[in-house]
Amino acid sequence: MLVLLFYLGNIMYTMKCDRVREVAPMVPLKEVPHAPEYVAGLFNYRGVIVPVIDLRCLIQGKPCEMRMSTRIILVDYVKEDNTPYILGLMAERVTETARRDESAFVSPGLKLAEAPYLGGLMMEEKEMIQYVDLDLLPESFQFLPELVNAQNEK
Amino acid sequence: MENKDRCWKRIGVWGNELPRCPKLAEVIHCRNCQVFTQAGRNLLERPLPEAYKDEWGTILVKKKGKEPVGAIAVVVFRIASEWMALPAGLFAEIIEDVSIHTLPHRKTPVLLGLVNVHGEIQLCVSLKHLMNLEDVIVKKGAPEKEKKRLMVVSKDGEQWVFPVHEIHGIHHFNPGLLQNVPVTIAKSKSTFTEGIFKWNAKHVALLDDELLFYTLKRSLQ
Repeated sequence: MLVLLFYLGNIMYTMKCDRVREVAPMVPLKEVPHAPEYVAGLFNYRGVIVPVIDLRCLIQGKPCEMRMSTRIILVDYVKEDNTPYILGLMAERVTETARRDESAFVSPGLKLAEAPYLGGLMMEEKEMIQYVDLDLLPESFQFLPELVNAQNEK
Repeated sequence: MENKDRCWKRIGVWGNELPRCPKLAEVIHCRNCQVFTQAGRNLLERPLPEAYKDEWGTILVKKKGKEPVGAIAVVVFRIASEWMALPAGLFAEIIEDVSIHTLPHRKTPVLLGLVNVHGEIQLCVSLKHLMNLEDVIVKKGAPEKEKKRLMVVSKDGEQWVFPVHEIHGIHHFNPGLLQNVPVTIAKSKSTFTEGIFKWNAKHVALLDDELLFYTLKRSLQ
């Protein structure tokens, strides 16, 4: 399976590519006042308003550095009532993909109440790479239902 | 982050110059080496210019253009002065102009003879005669011969070889753009033409392959 490798600070993370719709370069984002700090802003993605989450801010509490390799990963989601929506994830050094077997993904048996999406690991020969579970990610955003409705009004 | 030592500049990416990088024995070429890859990646570690951000912003605002759906692929070729096309699926291959062995006692001008295609004997037929195309007067010194090719076309399990004067290659277009054949066209070519499309400011006739091969078989019997 294809996985996307990226960095948050100096730590490498990975995610599965099956939900990834597109990796877009950094674009000007519309800031949202009073939104949680990890909401980088709103992205006008091909006419659809997409909320962009700063993954580094979400996971490490520090915003992504603005470099040319800092990119927005656009992820496809489907709500329970089958309405689709898109979420943007900002990460650093999004330059590489790799092919890994499903068996490379292991769960260490940790359940973090704060960050359920960070449970798994991808085993490499020498290291373990923390794996961001895209399926569990939206659970952490309370503001989502409203935004999803906004996307589908169009 | 900054990798100051650009070793590949000193030693050459293939390691042809001495001293040879010891890593090259393993990776063969610098592009397989981590040092080189990392240096390339570092180019992307530059600060993000505002103009770059704005440029992509305007690109990504726009909706993706609809790609033409159901486009068909045809091979465009020229016989005499006429540009024509046949569905690309029919083509087995395009070969260089080889000598055609004529058959004795065959009066039909459509059958040119036999050609050797990879050791197999195939019938070589002239579309020019089948469609009654007129010869063009070749200007002296024109590089006519160089572009001459043989198309090997396979239809219902049978292979045919046609000499053509020029082959452009594969062209994709939407069948919706096919125009009808103007009724005023008197040439018999029009009877084989399914429609006409524009390509490089030229009008190309898409040939009706069913009719073409049917007529071809009839004319050889």
